[in-house]
Amino acid sequence: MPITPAEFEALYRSHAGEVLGFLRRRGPAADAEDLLAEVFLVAWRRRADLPDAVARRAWLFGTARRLLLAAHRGRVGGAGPLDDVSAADVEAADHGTVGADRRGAAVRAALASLAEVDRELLLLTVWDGLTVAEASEVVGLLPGAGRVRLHRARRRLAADPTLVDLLPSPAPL
Amino acid sequence: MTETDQTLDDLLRDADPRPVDAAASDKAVLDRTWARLEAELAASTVVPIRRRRVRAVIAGTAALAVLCGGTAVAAELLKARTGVVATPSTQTEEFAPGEVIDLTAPDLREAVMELTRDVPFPSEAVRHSVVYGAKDFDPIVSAGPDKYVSSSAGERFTVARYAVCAWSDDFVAATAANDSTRRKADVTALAAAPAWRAFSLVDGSGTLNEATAGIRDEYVGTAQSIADAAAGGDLARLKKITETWCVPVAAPAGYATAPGGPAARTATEPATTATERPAPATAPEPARMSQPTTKG
Repeated sequence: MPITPAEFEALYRSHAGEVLGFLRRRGPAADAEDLLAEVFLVAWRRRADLPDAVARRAWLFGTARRLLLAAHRGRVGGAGPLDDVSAADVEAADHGTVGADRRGAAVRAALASLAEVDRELLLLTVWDGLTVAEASEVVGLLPGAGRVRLHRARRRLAADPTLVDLLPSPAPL
Repeated sequence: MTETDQTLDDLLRDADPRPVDAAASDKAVLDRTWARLEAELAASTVVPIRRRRVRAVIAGTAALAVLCGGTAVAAELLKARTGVVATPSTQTEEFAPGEVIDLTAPDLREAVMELTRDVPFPSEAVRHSVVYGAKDFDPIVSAGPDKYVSSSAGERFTVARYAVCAWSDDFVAATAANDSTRRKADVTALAAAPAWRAFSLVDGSGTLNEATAGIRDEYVGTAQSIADAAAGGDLARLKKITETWCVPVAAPAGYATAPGGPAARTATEPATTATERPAPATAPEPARMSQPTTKG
């Protein structure tokens, strides 16, 4: 049963903000608005076969991720924006939130060492606030597999030489 | 959660590039985007699927002359991009909105290239092959005895459709070559195709009418089917879809300006334009390339 226009608006009001946040974190800010519109246009066009309400959040993030990857590929070809964290770096530098800060640089370097799927699982859960099951769905994994990979990614990150010095020191946090 | 996990999360949150005060600036973007969506939804709520090509039908040469503020003869002197935006009063049922494009102008291919730069292709060479070597540009219909016009939105639909065929061809070729990386890239591109701006967002005068929205949805629906078939590795289904939606390019060697120009074309001939010319030397052989069938 396709969702109604009212339900579609409710879907937008509930999730557009966080999808916009995801797009702005992962890609150029200038593209985020257009991509957000495209995400929800896809949702409207697919309104007859959208997943159940509980799964729609992950579906929207998954669509946003695919559009972002395609947009990035269209611009520069090759790897997606999540294969490095340069987009996030630029964004961060623009906003001066982490900039050249040592911790920020160390975290970004450590993140860059992770496999793309592992990194995305981690960021979807920590930055975007998705559940492990939702994040797994976004990257195309079953929840169990996502949970295992997320656990391993955390362990790898914690063991990263650039972060080891930072982890025992909670004072600045 | 262990202390290490908590500290790790805190470090990651500190590295979040999103400004803490982003919510305020987001509101304007969210409101603006919802307004855009409402306009799009209003245009696409009624979407009868029609197996028909977007066609430029303007009521006679006189209409174009009026649009362009001159005579048909004067219109021929214009470049492909006329700068004239179709309005509801001049936009007939099957005429996609946007800027009126003069299909007889010598710079047509350059104009189409410019208008469709954001449509992804597997390579720039393939893009050139399609834009410069395409045998026809749907929509092409005579608006008079010697005048062929289209619209920017229509051209964008068309090139996007050609691009889907190109990605599909690339997927088939990558499969044959057992090139998993290329296959993956093709699947990703095809998955994004239904949401390409060329399909989803219309420039110029804004909204699609019922007919063009139906055609747009047909294109998008087929692009989605192709994407699904590729994602599932279903070559048989892919072939079934593309063999009716895409046909091999038949651009012959020495493809050149048709003698006599567009006026020499008859209603039963494939659509051609006076500006057809060989693909650039850098373009690949189009043998592998498919294009949408000219059958509506």
